[in-house]
Amino acid sequence: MSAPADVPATAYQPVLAAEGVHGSRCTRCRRGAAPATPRCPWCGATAEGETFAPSGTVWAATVVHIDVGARQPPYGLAYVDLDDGPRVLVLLRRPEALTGGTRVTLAATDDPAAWAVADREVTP
Amino acid sequence: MTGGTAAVLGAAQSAFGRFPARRLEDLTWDAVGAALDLAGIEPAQVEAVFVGNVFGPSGVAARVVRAAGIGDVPVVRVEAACASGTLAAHLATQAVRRGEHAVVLALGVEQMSVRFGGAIVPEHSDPEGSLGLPLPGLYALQARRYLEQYGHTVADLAAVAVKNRAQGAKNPLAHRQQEVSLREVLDSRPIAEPLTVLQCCPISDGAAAAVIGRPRPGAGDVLVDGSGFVGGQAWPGTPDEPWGTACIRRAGDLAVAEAGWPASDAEVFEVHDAFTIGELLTVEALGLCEPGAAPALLHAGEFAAGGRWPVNVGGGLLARGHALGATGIAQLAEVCAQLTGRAGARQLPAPRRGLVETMGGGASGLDGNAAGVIMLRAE
Repeated sequence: MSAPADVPATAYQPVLAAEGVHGSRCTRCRRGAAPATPRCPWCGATAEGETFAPSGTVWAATVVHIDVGARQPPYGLAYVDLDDGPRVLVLLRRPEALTGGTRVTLAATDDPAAWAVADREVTP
Repeated sequence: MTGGTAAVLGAAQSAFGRFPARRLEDLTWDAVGAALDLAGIEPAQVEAVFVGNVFGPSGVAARVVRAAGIGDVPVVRVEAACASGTLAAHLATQAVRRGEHAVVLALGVEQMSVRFGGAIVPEHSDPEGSLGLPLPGLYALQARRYLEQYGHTVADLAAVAVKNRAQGAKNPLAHRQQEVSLREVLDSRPIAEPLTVLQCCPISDGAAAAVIGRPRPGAGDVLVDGSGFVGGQAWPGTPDEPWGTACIRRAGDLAVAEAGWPASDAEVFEVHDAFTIGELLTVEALGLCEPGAAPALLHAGEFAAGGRWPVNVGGGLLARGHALGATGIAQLAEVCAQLTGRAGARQLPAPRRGLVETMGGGASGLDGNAAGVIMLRAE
């Protein structure tokens, strides 16, 4: 990543806080987006702030083997459909191409260029 | 179709490859000179220029047009990621149809080797890009989904590279002119699982040009029957399809409606195989077969030079290379060469109709930046 000066990568990504993933939800069609958008990308209606649960289901995952920035390959990335929320791209804690449908939980990370990491859900 | 008709009077590409020491002006002239010769048009007859370019510096369009001897005309640079050249050709076609100009040059230029040592560095200000998802990673995610959904294997993807590299071996302007075996494709180094490096197109320098004007009866021009260009819509859509699919379908639907004949009537296709999975998703999006059915047709040889729908007979991006802004017009040049019997060792028997599809990729939350489909017919 050709990081322009002092803007951290996470400034462009969704936000994971203690209460969940910050984003927005359409007041009309109810679709969610993260990062938040002022209007709904699907229907154009007004969207308002929403917090989504930090858990979901893998849509697809890959392991990247090339050097595209500061992060050392290999690393895993997955599109995760958050529960009742949007599809977000998340870094995987382990470089493993999880199969679609795998349940994951999101957690904070000290990776400076990632907003969260996803792990297989631990079932109690 | 609004207004009059338009035709490709001549189209050509420069060699594609890594040419960091060549001036972009000279690469451009290789394409423009050849296209003007084929068209029988002098630079002074060109009334406007649309230039597809992604990573060039400010002023690059004006510089290359000056070197081509084209004088005081509007020069409009357009950017739609990998579909920039296709957009330039689309806009040139529209300008001719509306009667604004009699002869317009659609030009694509790109010099990637001076910008990137390896893969394109993802855009830092894009959520996906900032997280380290390179373009092959985006396609890898679609590939993974596709394989899991339909029970296909990596070998089904790799077969696309084997086919297109075999065609590239017959294309003296291609970046990669060596055939590869299925084993070599599968065993090449991993880029983003399940994509290996031989399932990824090379990043190329190059130029391509198309002279677009009013058809001249008896001149052997190639008619532009339909041209559709669309922007991305929010992704995932309904139904939930792989990224890119709906965007390509929308562009195809526009082109088909204008042309008045279905994509399946085309006898030669150049489609966006920046990564192997792209070709499979594209032929499905264009409606040549049901979702998930492309590998069976591929293995049956239907997308090969002797098949029902020859796809990427010029080698595709996988062999020809990918000079971003130039790619769409290089695709157009290949289809025109096929329709006019000028495709050399790659010449198909006698195709009458052809189709170009280009996907402009990689914007977070959209099913593509843009996609273009151009449908062509021999006069």
